[in-house]
Amino acid sequence: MAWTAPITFYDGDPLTAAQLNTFIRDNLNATAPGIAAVGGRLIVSRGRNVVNDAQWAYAYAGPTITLSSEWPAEAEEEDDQGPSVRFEHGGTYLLLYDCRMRRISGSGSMNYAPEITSGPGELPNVYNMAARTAKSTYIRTGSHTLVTGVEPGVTTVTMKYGVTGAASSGDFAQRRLTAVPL
Amino acid sequence: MSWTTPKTWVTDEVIYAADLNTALRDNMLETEAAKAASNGGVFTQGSGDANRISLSQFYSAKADLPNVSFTAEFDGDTTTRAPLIDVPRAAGYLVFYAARQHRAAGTGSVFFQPAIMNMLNTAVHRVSSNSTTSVRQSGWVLFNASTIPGLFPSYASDTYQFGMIYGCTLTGTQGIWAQRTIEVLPLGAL
Repeated sequence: MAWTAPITFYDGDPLTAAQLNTFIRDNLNATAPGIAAVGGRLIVSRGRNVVNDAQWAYAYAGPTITLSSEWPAEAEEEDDQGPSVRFEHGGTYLLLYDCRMRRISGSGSMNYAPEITSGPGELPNVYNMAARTAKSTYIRTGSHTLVTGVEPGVTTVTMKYGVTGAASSGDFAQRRLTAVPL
Repeated sequence: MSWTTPKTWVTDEVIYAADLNTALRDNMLETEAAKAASNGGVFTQGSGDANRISLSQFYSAKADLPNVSFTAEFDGDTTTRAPLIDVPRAAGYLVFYAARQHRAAGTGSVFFQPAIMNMLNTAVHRVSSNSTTSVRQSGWVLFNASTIPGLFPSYASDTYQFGMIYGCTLTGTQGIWAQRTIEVLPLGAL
């Protein structure tokens, strides 16, 4: 139901069923208790007098993967190992991502970065968004990015991996990705 | 308008316009549906009076160019620098901050941390590195504005300026910071 701005009442005006249905029934159905359906979701604004619930998305990939591919110039060339989340949003979403990683050979850096694989949104140069390490011991490192001002819709974000530096390789473990849609 | 505890109606009670205006019109105008104004906001409990909610949206700023470069000890440079953003006064804030940083010279560590009106200046929120290759790092902090001495409620302005402090831990250390971002979600607008 859509929200209707409540009128001002005056003594002597007849109170009709239509008014009660519009200003009590329909308006209450447009508020958070009226739309709440699943525990734990956020209540967000989706326009003037429009509220909706928003569902977090979280993905975890526990296994350790070892990669030795070089960081490509184009994201499409990267290994596609996930994790990946798909979520509905109102044009703004926060991405949080981290993993444990280490370099096991060579002198390059290990990179872990999100990429929008479908749906609205655009991220800066994926290399600039990458959580990165050149350490030879495991370190949990991550980053975040806020995407805002895009078209509402359903977006899929997938984590990508890369290794900079020839003859370098590294491990990526306990890989996480969270999307908070608004 | 403010929220009024809804009255209990009794059979045969005469309904006056004043009752409907208070219990229906005014209370409806305090709901999130009435306050929703645009995409991308989230509702939090407002500050001040009870039964008040406020719409919060992320305020974000980024500084891609020019990259910041320092050769200094931390105590020598606490200037709040870009990215800078003015955020409405609120009871608390959820702050995310990130940058790519590396040490370009020297032997110390380089770091960045958020600052509010030059007052959220504590190593607790510092993100540091001694890497000589550029690494993107992030930090986040959730805090109650009233816990920052001198910030709240002493400052009565309608906005607070958020930014970043950059530094190096040893004389002669030089750091370079790039693609710097800060995002602030005010909680409980006043």
